[in-house]
Amino acid sequence: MTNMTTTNSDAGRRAATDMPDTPKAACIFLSDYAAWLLGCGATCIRIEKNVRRMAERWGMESEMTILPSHIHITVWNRDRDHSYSNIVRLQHTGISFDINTRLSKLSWAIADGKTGFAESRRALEAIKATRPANKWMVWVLASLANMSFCRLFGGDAAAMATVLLATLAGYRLKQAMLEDGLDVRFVFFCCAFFSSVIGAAGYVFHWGDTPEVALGTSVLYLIPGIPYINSVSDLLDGHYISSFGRFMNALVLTACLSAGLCGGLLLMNINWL
Amino acid sequence: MNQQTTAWILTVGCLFLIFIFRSIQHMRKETGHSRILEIGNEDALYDEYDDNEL
Repeated sequence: MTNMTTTNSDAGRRAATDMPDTPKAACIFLSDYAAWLLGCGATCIRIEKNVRRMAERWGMESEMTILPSHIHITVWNRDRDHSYSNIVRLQHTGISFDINTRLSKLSWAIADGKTGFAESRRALEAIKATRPANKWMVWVLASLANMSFCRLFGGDAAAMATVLLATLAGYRLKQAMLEDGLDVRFVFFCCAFFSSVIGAAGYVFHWGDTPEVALGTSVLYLIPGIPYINSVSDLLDGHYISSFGRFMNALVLTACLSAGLCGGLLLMNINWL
Repeated sequence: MNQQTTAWILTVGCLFLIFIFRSIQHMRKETGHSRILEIGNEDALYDEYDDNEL
């Protein structure tokens, strides 16, 4: 018991004293960290706070400029006579709450002195190597969630079944096309088209009493909700460039989704007015 | 069967065919029988009877 206590306190002391030697080392770590945090869908204020927290722990100061695709970080030592700047491109890792949470926990572990610099770098590499969620599980759960949306909007059982089928097919197509590296805008257009056609089954085969709900909710899984929410958050925190970038990105995807939906409605000769 | 139903069946059938084709392509890659798809990639083709080097 005494040995374990001694070992734990030794490890804690090592962690508390293990810091980056130079602003360069800190800057490279922080810029890599910030790029991954931005790429996984964090808001600008979260990135700023996390990075500042870690820099302060190491006795340094940091300032950053967050752009839609890049982050520019400058780190000074406490005397402000030595600095290092770095520009990194954001990592297109896809939105991941798991990576977001783990990166935030890492920043707190560093700030609380529980993790030294060397261990932080290893932890960051481990987080970067995180495998994405099981795609089949995501496929099923997203379809069930969209089906639930249909129910929330007043759809009956037939509409819910139609939306489930439309989402299963559309989401699988989305996964397949993204795996093949196709442009995400084209992917959204195609998925919205096919999902809306399947969602129009209520009109074609006269299933249920709420075919309009099925048609409307069949493409909801494609709505880029997180970019819109993050855009508003960045707007409130004064990061206007990032906010506008995220908003435009989401708007383009929504336009592609709408075009696919319109295409499906035209093909099915459904008058939506 | 009216025009609307025909369009629906054709579209859904097309999507179904895309999935089937993709599955076949996937299986071919996994089993190594994908050379038939390497059209024009002649560097990858080996003729065991080519004895120009002898």
